[in-house]
Amino acid sequence: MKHLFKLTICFLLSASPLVTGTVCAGDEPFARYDIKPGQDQAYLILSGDIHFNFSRAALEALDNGLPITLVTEVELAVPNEWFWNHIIWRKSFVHEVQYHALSQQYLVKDIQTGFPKAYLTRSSALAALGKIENLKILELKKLDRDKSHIIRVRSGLDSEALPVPLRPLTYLSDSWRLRGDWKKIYWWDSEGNDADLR
Amino acid sequence: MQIYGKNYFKRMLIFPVLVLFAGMLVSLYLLSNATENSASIGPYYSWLLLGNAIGLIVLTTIFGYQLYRLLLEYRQRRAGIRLTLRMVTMFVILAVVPVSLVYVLSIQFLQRGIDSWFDVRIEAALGDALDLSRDAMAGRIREKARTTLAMAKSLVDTPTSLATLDMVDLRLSSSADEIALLDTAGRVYAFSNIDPEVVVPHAPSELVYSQLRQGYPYLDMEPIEDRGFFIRIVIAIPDTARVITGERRLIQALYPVADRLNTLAQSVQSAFGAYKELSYIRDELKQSFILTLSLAFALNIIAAVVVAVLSARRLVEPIRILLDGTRALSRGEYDKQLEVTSQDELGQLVGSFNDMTLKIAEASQQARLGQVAAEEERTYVQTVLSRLTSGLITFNSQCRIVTMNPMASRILFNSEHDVSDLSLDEIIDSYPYLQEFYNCLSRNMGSGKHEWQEELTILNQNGRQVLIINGTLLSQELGHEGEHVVMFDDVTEFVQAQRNAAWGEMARRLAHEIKNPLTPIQLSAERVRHKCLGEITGRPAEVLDKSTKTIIDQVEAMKEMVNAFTQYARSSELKMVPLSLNELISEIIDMYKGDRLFPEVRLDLAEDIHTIIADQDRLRQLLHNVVKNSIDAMEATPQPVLRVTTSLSSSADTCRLQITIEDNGPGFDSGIINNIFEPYVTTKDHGTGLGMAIVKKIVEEHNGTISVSNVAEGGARVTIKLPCQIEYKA
Repeated sequence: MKHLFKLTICFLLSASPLVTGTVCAGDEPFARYDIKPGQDQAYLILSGDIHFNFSRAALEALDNGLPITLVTEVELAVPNEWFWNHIIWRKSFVHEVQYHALSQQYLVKDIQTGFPKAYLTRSSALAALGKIENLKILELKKLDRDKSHIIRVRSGLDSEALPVPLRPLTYLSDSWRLRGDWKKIYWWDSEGNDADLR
Repeated sequence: MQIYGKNYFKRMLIFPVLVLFAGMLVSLYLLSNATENSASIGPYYSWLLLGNAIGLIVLTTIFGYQLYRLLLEYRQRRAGIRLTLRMVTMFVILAVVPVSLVYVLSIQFLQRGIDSWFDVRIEAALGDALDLSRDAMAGRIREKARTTLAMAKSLVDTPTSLATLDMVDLRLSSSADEIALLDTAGRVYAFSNIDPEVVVPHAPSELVYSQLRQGYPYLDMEPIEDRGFFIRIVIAIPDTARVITGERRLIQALYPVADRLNTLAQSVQSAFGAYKELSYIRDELKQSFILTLSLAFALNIIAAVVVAVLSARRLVEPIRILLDGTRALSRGEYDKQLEVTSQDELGQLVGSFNDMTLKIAEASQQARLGQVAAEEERTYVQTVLSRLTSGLITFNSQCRIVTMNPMASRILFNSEHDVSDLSLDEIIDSYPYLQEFYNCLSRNMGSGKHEWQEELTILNQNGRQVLIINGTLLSQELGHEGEHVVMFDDVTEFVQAQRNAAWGEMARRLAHEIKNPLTPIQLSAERVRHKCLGEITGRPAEVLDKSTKTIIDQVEAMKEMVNAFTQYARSSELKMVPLSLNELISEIIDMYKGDRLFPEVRLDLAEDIHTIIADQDRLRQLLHNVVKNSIDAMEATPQPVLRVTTSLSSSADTCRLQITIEDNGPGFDSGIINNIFEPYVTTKDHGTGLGMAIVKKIVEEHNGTISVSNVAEGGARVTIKLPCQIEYKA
């Protein structure tokens, strides 16, 4: 539905003389995932980093004080050959990064907790934004040991959190189409010794 | 009567369009406010944009469809299309021109208005205010750093295990919210927080440790959870013993920023951030407003055109319907009922039209029924007139023929002629033999008599014709003033039949009365002659001889005459038998071969005639009478020639056998040729005058016709036509 919505808006605005020089495709992936599952006592956990490839426009906007909101979706599913995977756990994490001109720091805020953290540089703030540290997914006892599982991770810009005038741009411009592909991680050994990252 | 048809719902399309238009207007209003009221409307911005896009697509589709229909109707030259186009053009011009003007001006105002928001001086002032805030904050940080450094020095000789009490004292003696004793490895030895529920100190980040390991103190302002900004000072305690282990002790102090300073600084930060953000999205802001404005413009234009088309259709529809109705009426569709599309004056006009056509249809139906009845009546009269055995002619007041039935034409012209609208004078020019008829009509019709009757004998090319004529002057009440109806019957055959019957009756009585005494007279004369002629001599004997001879001869002649009368008067009972006509003709001709007057005979007999069905005796008598007449007529002809011809003429529905007997004698006398078949008409000195009368009677008994004429080269011709009751050769 969202895709259809964007396509419709894209179609409409592409005919408009107001927006020129925009395309609907990007070259490099927005997010590169360096994460792996593991076990922490009785939990299946996820740790690693997501390296974001922000566009120049997005970084420029960030430096000019615009808040950038990223949504990271994590799913745990049991694969199905014939039909859609059976999702047994799903969670979204929303983080916002914003430049604080007074303190000359970048504040990274977890929207769920509302607690910000300050970083002196943009790169450290963005690195903190992609940091996944021992994310508890599900208790191991709740997993079926005879079946393999798929952990899917995707991170992207929440365009709806941008200021209103910028939103039409996100439907059309590659600079603002900041959404990573799904990263699939197959995991089937509950002992945590044999995780296959693909 | 109001009729709501299928077009009713099409016309009602204008209302959903108006609802859609109103919905899009509301949506556009919200869209334009989304920038200002980002918190309340912002989340729905995309949906509003999508809704407007869909609405625009729907309106564009309707717009395209309406234009296509207009084009189609224009090509089809549909009634009312020109008026519709004119109204649509007018509506569109009225709508598009002002809206376009407002659109262009609005864009200009918009761009100028947004540009006016940004000013270099304001930007510089905000920047300066931010720098001032930073400087103020920096001064406060430096002050707190000095305080913290003093605390660090006071802890140089304090063992770690006893530092907890010092932490409390130091926190209370300073304005810090939290004092913590740590080491560069991140271990916490002691801490004190203003909030007793806090059991873990707010540890610095790895970056802070890294900075301290390099020998630099950390002095900065950063947010702590949801409590706002704090001044964090982290300083290494200058105790040399710990340096040897590589884990230096650190003191961290978190100082709240003074409320007023914090408020002012945050206000400056907020204003600077908002201005910076707004400045950065300046172009996008313009584009966003222009997009909204363009959507509103497009919506207005399309909606104006669609509403213009629909309104024009709605206005023109009754006129178009009326036009269709009048066209249908001109084509004779009097039962045409129009659809009432509105309740206004035009709708009332359509209703009146429907009432009018209803009445016209009723009148037309009545007229049609009357016409059908009149046609049936006329057909009936025509049929009656055509079957009428009397002739009937109607004249108008100018004595011109209005109608003439077929029998009238057959009686007067012996064939069917169309003489309608001819006057009597014009008829006389073509048919002079009708002069007597003309005189009779002129005399009686001119007399002014309402009814008259007259018997008239005329001579046409076929002979004498007896007519009984009845005339009636039509009355004024019937609306036919001065018009005449003339009815006449051809009673020639009737008169002839009466005459023949009278002659037959007379002949029968004559034969009966005369034939009986003739034989005794003849016998008595012969007896006197036989007894007395031998007894006397001289003059008496001569007288006796001559007288008795005369008596006997005259009696014989009277007997022949009586026999002729008997034959003429005998009954018409026929004995029909098959016979060979050619053989019969040859046999009769052979009978005269010994006669002194026997002429040259030329037989031309048709080979394809085999036998015919006829009364042999009467047919023999017929041929005998005609042949004998011809031979007698040629008595004075130097080279008499008798020509007998038979022929067969057949068509699809008739078959006639024709016998023609010609001679080269003097021909028929012109004085008797017209009544040659009447009894006692003869040119012979001793003829009975019944020969040809008997011939005609026999022909008529066989349903045939007979006619006589004179041959141009000289001589007479008798033509007998008999119906084909015959058998043909195979």
